[in-house]
Amino acid sequence: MKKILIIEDEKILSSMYKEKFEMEGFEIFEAKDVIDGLKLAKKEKPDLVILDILLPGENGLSFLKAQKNEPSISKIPIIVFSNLDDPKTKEKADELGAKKYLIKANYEPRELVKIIKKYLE
Amino acid sequence: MATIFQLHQVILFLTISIGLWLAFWVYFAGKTKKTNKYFFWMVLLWLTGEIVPYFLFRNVLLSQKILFFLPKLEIAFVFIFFIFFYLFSINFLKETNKFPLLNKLIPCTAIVGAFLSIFTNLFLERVELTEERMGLNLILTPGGKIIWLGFVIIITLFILSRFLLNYFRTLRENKLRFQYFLIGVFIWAIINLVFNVYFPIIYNTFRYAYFGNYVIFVFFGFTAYAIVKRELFGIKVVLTALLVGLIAILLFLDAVLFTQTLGIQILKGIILVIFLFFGYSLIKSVLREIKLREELGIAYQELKKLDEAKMEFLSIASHQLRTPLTVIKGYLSMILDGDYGKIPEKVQEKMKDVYLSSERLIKLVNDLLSATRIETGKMELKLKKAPIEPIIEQAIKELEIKVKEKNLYLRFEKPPKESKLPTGQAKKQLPEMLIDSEKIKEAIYNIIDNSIRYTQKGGITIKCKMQNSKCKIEVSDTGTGLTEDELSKLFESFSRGAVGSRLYSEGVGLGLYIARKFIEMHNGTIRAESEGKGKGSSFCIELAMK
Repeated sequence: MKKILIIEDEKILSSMYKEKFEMEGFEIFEAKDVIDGLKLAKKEKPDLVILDILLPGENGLSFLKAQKNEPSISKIPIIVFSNLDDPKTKEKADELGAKKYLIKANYEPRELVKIIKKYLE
Repeated sequence: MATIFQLHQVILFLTISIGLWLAFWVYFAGKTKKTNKYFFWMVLLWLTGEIVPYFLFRNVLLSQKILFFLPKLEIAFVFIFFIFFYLFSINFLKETNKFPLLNKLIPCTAIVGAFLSIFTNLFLERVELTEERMGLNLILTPGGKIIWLGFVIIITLFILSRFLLNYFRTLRENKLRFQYFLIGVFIWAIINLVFNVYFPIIYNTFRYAYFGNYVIFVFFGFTAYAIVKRELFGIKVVLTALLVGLIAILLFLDAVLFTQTLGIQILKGIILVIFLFFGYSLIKSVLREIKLREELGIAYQELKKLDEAKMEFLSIASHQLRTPLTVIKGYLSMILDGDYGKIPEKVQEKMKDVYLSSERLIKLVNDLLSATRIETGKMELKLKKAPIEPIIEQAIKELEIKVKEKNLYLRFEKPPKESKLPTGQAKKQLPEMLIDSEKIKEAIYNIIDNSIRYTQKGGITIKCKMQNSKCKIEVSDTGTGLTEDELSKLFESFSRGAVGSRLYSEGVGLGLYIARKFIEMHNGTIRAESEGKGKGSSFCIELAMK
């Protein structure tokens, strides 16, 4: 079973995606901030990370930075999934190696699943 | 010779008075401030060390012994002068804590240098009395030359580089202060080059060297002004005033010293008065212009700040708006997908309406953000080679649900995949293009979306082909059509065709405006055609191949 880590502070959103992904047969881990996310990533070694940008404390970009410098998790593909549509942040995420930067509101959970599956192949 | 001598005395007198005035002006403007104190000592040292000896040589009979001692003192003065020059500079630049080692090294070296120059013959070899160079010519020992000049040049270059560096880094107000200093140094250097380097080399004369020596007071003047005044005049005003002043002084000297006849003196006096009048109005007009430009500059900066604040607000606000919309859209789509089991058809229909409404709201937020970015010039293209067909297909796919809701058709008439060239080779019909796929998709999406909105019966047909090395995308519908007036307003921001307001009230009409802007950013064109009301309309995008 493929493991997916969702780093998202909005409880209602993360449980929605959790529900959908579990229906599709993924194992889901949830973290509500960057520190939690890094801990879980190191412990569970997920196959993919879905990362929000505006989080309590440090923002999603610092997760990308930290992940890059941590050999044990540096290879995990990350999809940034945020409602913050800011060109500078997008560029930074791109530079830091995020696979994609998607605006949440533009995607249904079903579409997100499709994109994820593509990266897990 | 007599007049030159006279002239020299006048200038000498002026220089000493101006120097003293500057020194005390700065000193009393800020007795407790270190910058002011160091400046005060700097000027006084220069006066006693450089100017007064010349004055003495001219007017006092000196014994050979004093004649040898005074130049030694002069060299020592220069060493000490540079201590104060350095201390003044780092205080002026507020860099007192930046070079702790230099803060000790420079004064120590200078004091040792001054001591050695007075009590040994290390620096000065001999002194020659000469009619030129205002009376004396210092001959330095080779070693003395290297140490003395080296010390002076290194510190000067160091100070200049600090000023330049700070000038380029610092904020507006301080920038002007450093500019005054730098301009002062610049004028000093230029005039020195002319009288102390150019003249001696080309005309082989040191006769005018004192001009170079005295011009240091231009530098002192500029610097004093920059220290004392809180509100500084723009440098242009000062330069204009300086030029006017210089010409006035020359006119005055010409009238007083070089004109013998009273009648001509009076005439020249009148010319001077007229010149002063025009000079004054010139300075005033420069002042006015600069003030106006400064005000404009400030207003522009404030507008820019506001603009940025607006963009930031919009980014955050749209983020906040999107979050609940994401939840609504997400759960609705899951319910409609049957993730929670089958739902009655009637409920499903209503659910679809709610879903479409949430989509509309999301689109509205996206459009507002895009339109604002376009209008503030913050929208950038991310160009990449990409085929156009999948982009059109994606736009169609995203709109499928809307089309089904209205019972319309949506056809994409693709060009045949390959066509045979006369040579028998297969040629790809639609080559890849250098485009920002996201933006082109949004443009096409907006156009189709607009057509769906204004079509009640029939449907929309999309065609795509290559023509004259341009990619032509045509969207035609069987909708309400457009009047001439509507056609002209169609692609403007926040305006809608009159038909729109009658039939529908959805959307703020940003879609076509954004589409036009995105296409234009790709150097493409977009136009709409309609044969009139009820006859449908067609939209045509043309993109040049790159």
